[in-house]
Amino acid sequence: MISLRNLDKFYQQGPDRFYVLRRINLDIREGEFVAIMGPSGAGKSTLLHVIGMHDTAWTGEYTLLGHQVHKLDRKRRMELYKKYFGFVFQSYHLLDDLTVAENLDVPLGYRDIRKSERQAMVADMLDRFRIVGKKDLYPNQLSGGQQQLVAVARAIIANPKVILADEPTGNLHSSQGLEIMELFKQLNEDGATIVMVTHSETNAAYAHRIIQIADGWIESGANAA
Amino acid sequence: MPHQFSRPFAGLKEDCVYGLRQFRRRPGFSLSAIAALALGIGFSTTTFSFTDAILYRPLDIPELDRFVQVAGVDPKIERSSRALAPVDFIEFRQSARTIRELSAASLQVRNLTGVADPVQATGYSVSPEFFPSVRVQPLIGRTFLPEEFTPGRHLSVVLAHVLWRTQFGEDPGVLGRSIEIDGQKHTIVGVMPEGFRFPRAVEYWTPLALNSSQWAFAGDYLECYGRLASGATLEQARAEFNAIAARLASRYPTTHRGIGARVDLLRERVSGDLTATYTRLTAGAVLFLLLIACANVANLQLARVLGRVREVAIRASVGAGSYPILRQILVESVMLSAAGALLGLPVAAWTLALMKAAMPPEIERYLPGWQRMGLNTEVLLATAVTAVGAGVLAGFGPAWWLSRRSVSAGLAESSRAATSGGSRKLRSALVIGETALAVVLLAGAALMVKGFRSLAAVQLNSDPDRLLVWNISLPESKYSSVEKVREFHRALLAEAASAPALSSVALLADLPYSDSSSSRYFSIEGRPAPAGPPDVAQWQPASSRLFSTLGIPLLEGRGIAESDVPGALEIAVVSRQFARRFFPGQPAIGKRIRLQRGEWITIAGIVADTRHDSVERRPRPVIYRPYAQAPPQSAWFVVDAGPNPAQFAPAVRAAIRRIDPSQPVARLQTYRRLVNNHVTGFAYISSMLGALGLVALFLSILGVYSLMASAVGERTRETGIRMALGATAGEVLLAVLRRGALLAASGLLIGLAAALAAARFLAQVLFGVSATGPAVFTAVPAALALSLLLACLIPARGAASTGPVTALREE
Ligand SMILES: Nc1ncnc2c1ncn2[C@@H]1O[C@H](COP(=O)(O)OP(=O)(O)O)[C@@H](O)[C@H]1O
Ligand SMILES: [Mg+2]
Repeated sequence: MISLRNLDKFYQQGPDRFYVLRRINLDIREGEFVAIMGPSGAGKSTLLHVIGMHDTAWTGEYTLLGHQVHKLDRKRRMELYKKYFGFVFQSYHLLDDLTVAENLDVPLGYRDIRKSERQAMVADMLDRFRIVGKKDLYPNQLSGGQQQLVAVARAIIANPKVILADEPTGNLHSSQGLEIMELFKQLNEDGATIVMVTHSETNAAYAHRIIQIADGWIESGANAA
Repeated sequence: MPHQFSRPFAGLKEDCVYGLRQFRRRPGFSLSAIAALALGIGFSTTTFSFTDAILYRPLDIPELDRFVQVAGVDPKIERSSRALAPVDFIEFRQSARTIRELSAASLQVRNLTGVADPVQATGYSVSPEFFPSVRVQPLIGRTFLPEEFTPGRHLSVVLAHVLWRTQFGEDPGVLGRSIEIDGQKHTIVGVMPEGFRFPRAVEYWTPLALNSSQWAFAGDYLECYGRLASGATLEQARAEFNAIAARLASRYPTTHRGIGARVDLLRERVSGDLTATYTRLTAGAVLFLLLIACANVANLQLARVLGRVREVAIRASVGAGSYPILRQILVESVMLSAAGALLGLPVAAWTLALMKAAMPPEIERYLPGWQRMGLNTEVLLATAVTAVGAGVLAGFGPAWWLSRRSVSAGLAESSRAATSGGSRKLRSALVIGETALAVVLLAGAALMVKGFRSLAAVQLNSDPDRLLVWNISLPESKYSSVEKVREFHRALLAEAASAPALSSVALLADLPYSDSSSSRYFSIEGRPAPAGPPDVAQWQPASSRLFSTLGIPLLEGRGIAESDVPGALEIAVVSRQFARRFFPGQPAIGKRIRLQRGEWITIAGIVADTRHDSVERRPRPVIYRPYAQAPPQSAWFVVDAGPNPAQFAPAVRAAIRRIDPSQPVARLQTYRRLVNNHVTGFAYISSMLGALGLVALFLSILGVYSLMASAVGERTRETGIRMALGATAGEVLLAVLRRGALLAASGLLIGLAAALAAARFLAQVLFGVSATGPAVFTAVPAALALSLLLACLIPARGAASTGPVTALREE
């Protein structure tokens, strides 16, 4: 499903090139649950954003479900992203001025979906995550775990094929973290492909495969076993 | 809390130092705030000195504020201000209790000879009270002695400084020498100091020496001035003088019927009603501009205090109270506006210099105070007050907002959450208000500019570039009979026409746009006299070629002919308006009119209406008379001399010299130049208002731009999140533009409503301005909307180009 070939990413600092990702070769199959691990500053988040096509300044080849991403312009890449990906962040990144329900509606607003249908999808999601009672609250009225729950719900509401998660439990208590991981497991079993960056061995244990990365190089786990 | 107020100024110096550090840390912010204030304050200062000079100190006279002018009012005429008759003056002087030191002055245009070239000069004949009431001492010599007001002993003259300089090279030995005024020798007894203009700029003063029958005369030709008695108000004076005028009206029904009195502060009269109104409106426009600049700065300040919410909360939590930081904000904005004022002063000085330099001298003499516009103490003081006021005004909103934050909210808030809610609303409100003010100012300015342009649009049927004009005022002493006057005019017309290029030469009493005009009361044969003052029309003695030279079409009957001489039938040609007004629905030709007790005059023709000056709403009724039957003492000559008429000026001078070498010619110039001078004032106000409007436009664009730029900056994270959730660059751009458009639209709508109201007010107080201008009310908002959208576009593009990676890489 996702295939990276000889992918390099660097920051130009004066005359020096500072490589963040180096000769990345990586394959992820549909329905897989992979964890990316490695020390801080290794390039994990960068890799996730490259896969999520937020980061376009790299060289190499990236194929997504037959689309040659490296040959597409920014606009086409964004379309692909919109179609296939959902993103979960370490610090949730809910919109402070919007209620829970409104936050869930945001991704739908950027897709061609009718208003009535959107309302139904939001209600459905609130139901599924058992947060109906919180739908009119603002993010700062929720605990961290609840906020991340909403963030996950928001990431999957538009039915993405791939969920990208950057340390989704990094700011949570272990019990709250566990709840999120169980949720991911469920989503994966329902067919979603999950690529998750994590520091936690416990969380990594939920994955089918662990990709180790250090100093921009993949150390192990580049291919499915 | 109280202990902080016990020494409210302790630490002020530290505040200033801290403020300076802020300037250095954010120079872009400080510079744009200072620029906005420099424009706002600079233009205010210009207007202060303009208003100060024109409205408050047009004349350099002690206690000018108590000086009044008394005039008659004909209720049938708009903005009527009539001269007084000697009988009126005597009556007013005897009975009035509210006004003291009443003096009379009679304006006269005379020929000066016995000096260098003969020149036309303007002077006043003044009553004995005149100089003592003014309380200005002569530079050399003396003013008039009581005995010099006796007829026969009155041949003394006091020179104005300008005449002393141009004719006598400031020679102090001039006292005792004599000059000829209309051929009569007058002894120079004194010279007034430079800048003494009272009641307006003239070149000399002579005693008003009337015998008892002249004092009993009821014809009006005197101006009347005086000082409000101590304790008396203008209102009391008006009431008293109107009561006296009513008495006079019943005593002299033929001349005074329906005539009232008006008493005005001299400083408002010298500049004229219109000038005063325009000046006040300009001052109002500048106030708007200043408010816009303040809203701008308040907005920038607000953006800045947001970063300090936590600081205030922390200080408050340790018991420091918010007073020091509130004061800090105010000190900072006052420092900003002080810097703005310092930069605004050169702006003002430059504008003033430009205004003075561009004013033609022949106009400037009618604008008392013009050359005294400058950055004097009063103006500087007003500027300082404005600067402090603007600083406090601009700092007050942010300081108020900050003081209303609760401690816990402030502490709990991360810097990003602090930008939400109240402050954003306040900032939006400021930008909306600013935009609304800009709409009012721009629409008002545009309406007024449009009005002035229509005033300044001179309506002529002939090409003023081809016409050469000049004025001849024949002295009554030398040209003492109508025969002599007629003979001079006849000779000059013939002499000029003998040159082939000048063959179209024509004469009339008052040239349109020359600022002179005269009217006569008349009665119509077979009709009873109307109630109130008699019918009145403009009086225009003219020569036969006048209508063709000025391009005035003949509508009915015949024009003026060479054969219309004394002894032939006395005829008149009237304007269409005359015919319509006095002979509605009936033929005017063949009807007869006459001046008081004069001969009957038969109407022989009707010509088209013309515009005589710019502030005329409707064409006035005009009686044209053959000059030979009614020779005017003062006459204008006009000739179509081809594409370069100025080259014939020497030929005209030579022709006049051949007829009477001592007769001066005045205002010999192309008609184009005369007309341009006539509209200079309008052009001035127009360009001033236009400039104010443009600066307002610029400031409101700056305001919207900086609000949107900082809003985009504050929302970088949100933008990143939205893009991570699938928003495209286009959608982000649109979202920013939508926000901007919402702000702009609210401001435009409020502004438009206010502008419509303002327009109705303007149309009421300003002649020539119409309340409805569909073009103005669509073009101004459209232009503003477009500029505001452009102002949003730059920050919007910035927002659209931030990728989610950069935006979200905060942790
Ligand atoms: N804009 C940037 N300019 C230069 N270096 C950057 C930039 N953004 C990230 N980096 C560097 O790239 C490296 C990888 O970052 P990241 O992918 O966030 O690491 P992590 O594995 O902790 O998620 C880090 O060393 C970081 O300092
Ligand atoms: Mg990371």
